[in-house]
Amino acid sequence: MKAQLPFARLLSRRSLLLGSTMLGASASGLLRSLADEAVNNKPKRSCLILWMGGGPSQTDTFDMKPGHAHGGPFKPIATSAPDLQICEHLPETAKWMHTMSVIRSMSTREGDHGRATEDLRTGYRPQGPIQFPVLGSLVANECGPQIGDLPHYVSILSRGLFRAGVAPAGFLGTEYSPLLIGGGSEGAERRLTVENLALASGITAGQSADRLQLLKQMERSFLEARPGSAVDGHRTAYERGIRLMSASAAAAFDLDQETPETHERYGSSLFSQGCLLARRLLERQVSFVEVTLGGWDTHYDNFESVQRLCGTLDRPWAALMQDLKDRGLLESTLIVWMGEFGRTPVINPQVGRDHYPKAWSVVLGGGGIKGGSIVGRSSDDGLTVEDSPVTTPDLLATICIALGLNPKKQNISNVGRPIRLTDPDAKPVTSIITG
Amino acid sequence: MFQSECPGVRRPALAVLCVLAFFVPQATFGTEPPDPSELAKRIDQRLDERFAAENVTPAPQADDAEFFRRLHLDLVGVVPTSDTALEFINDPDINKRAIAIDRLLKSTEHPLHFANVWRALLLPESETDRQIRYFLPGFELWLQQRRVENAGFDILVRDLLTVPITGTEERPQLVLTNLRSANPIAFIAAKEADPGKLAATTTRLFLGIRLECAQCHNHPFDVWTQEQFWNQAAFFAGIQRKGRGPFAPVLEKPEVKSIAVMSDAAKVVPALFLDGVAPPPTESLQRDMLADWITKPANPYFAKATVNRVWGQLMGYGIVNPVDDFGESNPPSHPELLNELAAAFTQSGYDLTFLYQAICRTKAYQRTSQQTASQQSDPTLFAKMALKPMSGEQFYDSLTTAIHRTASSSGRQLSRNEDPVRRRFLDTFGQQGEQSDPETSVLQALTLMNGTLISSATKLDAEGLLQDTLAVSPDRLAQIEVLYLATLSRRPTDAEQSQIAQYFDAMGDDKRERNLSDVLWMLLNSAEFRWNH
Repeated sequence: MKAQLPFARLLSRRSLLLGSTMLGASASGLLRSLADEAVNNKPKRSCLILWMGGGPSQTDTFDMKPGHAHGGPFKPIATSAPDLQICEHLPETAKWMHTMSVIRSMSTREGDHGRATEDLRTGYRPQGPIQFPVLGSLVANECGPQIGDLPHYVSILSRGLFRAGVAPAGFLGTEYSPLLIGGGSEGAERRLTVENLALASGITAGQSADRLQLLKQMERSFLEARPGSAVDGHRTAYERGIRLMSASAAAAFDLDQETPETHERYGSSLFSQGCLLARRLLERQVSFVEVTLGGWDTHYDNFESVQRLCGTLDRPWAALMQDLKDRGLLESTLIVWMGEFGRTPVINPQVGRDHYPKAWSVVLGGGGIKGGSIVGRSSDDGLTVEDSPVTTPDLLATICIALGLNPKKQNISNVGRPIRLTDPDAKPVTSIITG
Repeated sequence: MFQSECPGVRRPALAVLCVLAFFVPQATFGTEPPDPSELAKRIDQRLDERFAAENVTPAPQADDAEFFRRLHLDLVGVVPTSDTALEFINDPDINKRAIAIDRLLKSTEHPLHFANVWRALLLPESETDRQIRYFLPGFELWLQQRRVENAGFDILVRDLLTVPITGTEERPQLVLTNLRSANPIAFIAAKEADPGKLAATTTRLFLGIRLECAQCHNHPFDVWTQEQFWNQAAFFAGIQRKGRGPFAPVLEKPEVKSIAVMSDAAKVVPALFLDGVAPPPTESLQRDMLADWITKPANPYFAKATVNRVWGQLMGYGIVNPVDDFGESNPPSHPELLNELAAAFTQSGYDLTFLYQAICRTKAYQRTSQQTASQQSDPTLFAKMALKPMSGEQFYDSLTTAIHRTASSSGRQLSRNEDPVRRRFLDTFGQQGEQSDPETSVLQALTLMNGTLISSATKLDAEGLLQDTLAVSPDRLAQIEVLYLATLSRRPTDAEQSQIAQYFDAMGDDKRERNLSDVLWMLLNSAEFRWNH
């Protein structure tokens, strides 16, 4: 608590000095919404992405092929949705399928991890110098300036996800970059925390505020002589860091505030902790949260790995669904389970499955989505899409609409060209959108 | 420093040198060595033509301190110590910039920095895969040795692509037998011995062509077809791995000369160079022939891609940018200049020292990063120095140099990149992508504001810069100057001295030591320290 006063002082001074961010933006926002109501593009729901890094096998999860040579040893089980069966290793998730839809006809065009990841996360295939922002940054941008202490976009355990050579927020600038939590620095105790949120020992809040004021004053002339995105990003990172140090923000990341019973329901893996943290952030109206579970790149020993990964995924995902429902947040949160591509229906000689963008699955659920339905169909051998193919832009436009965003809204890119949230040719999957 | 850290390498290095003598390109004998100053003039002439055409006034030359700090970071990967910086600033020799360029290129730290830069490009997997880090000492040693010898870049590429694989189906070859032996085998292991990955990395890094997008379909914006991707992969088709993980043994079947297209297993394609020509039918390994084709002087991509990458490393922005995305849809900003650079580099025998010398001597490289006219904001003009991000290694080494922190080497580590404190720092400050604007993340800001490295350096009772500063002189102006030289490699301006004086006055003189600690904290958190500018 004692830390709040000087930071509040500093922040209010900051908003007076910079002015632009809060006052300027809200004034122009008002003018815009008076001029054209349709331009008001703020999301009406939060978004939770469960990102399955490496590309999960659809054949062994949500689009099973029992009885076919491609099907593998796993058995399908009934779910809470009458016509929908999924893998036996997802028994808890199965109880929530009445709130989710499975798209079994994803058909995309990138088979390299880096390129596919960029494609599925930005809605655009990498091309030349345009730096496309990831979906979370696009949503953060639509939310407007950050008002509270928590950022709009938090990405959990996403180390390795933003390595495609482009900053995640792309041409939108670092103000819309995610806050990255975990993934690399958990140490031996494997606990998900935000490091260095507290002042160093021996430093009082007063001294810290003095130092920050000195920093701001002394680096002003250097920064002003070098205008550009790097300077804006540097200022923004420090401002956002200072906000995170507030007691209320720090509390959001403190998983020790949860009961042992809750920890028990979620489990103790890093992904479990990530899901629990995601729930705490969604409770606090963070607009976009993603949690990564990596390891799905199962070129070898696919079945062993997928069974283990399903074990890691199943309980925390179901616990999160339950918590969101109990808190009345299921209707206001869109949930997406996806990776960068699927895996070959053909089982390779190493008992693995390789990259396969041609026919694969994603799952959408929660708010704005018709539960218990199936979109599209893959062939009996799983090799091709036989009905209602869904492309990357189609999927991202569907997500945008479910969040209450207009996918055709334009942003100005770093090359001066307007870029829509999703490609204008996108055909959203309207059959599963409930509004 | 390099030799003392790696006591076991001398004899293998010599042996390698002898072998290398056979590979020195014949063309370099008997001709005048190319003059880096001539090329530097040519570069400036080309850039000036563009300024005149577009009526742009470029930024003025950087002062000695700004230039020297930049040169240090670019060539040896660390800021200068305050003594070195002061010595350079005070040196009256009018040729001191060219002399400093040559001196740093010959220093023992330059190969270490070079190895960090190219390891990050060649083995980005080591950022996320801890197992691959076991390969780094040997891999970095190989890069360092090649740089010490000033081996032509063609030799380095050839080494990499033709790394011997002796394993067979019956007796696959262990990839990690001696952690200390200089060896590029990590390249094969990190790419999972996968022909597609090896081909994609090779064409992107050495030819500037992003072919991986043609893996599943024809290239959307360029001339490359899916089949050409697999033609390239076919050069590596004989390579296999037995089992999983980076330590799994590898083998090579030289007789395998074709590969199945991923999306259509029935379609098998042969190895073909990107110009459509088939490799000659000989006994040689196909990847040896690929190395020949890439590094021969007539190759239309190799020299351009390499000079453009080095240009991007030094200037912060490629003539083609992104530096590895050559193609119809992404033309160079200065096409004639790119051709001339490539021609000179080829003629020099792919001599990196020559290339560094030429670029660092230009007016363009020596301009200030301050923007003095708005047209300079266009990065494709090179009208001011770009702000460059520091790699994790550059930042950590600069930080520890600035605060006089000695390395916590336990002697068991094979290289300084394995120091656990350093490693942890690199995980937070590792570069996100390459050649983009410098970016500060929230977590980096928190680490710098509150983390242990800086908080312990700014403790009054800690050994290091702060204690050393207090010992230099009781005079406050002198103390501030020491702190500025150690961190920002320059003296403070009068305006800065008076702003700091005001801070001391406002805080009260009884808190003088605390105030000095605040000044150091401020300097270490400043953008000027954080970036290569």
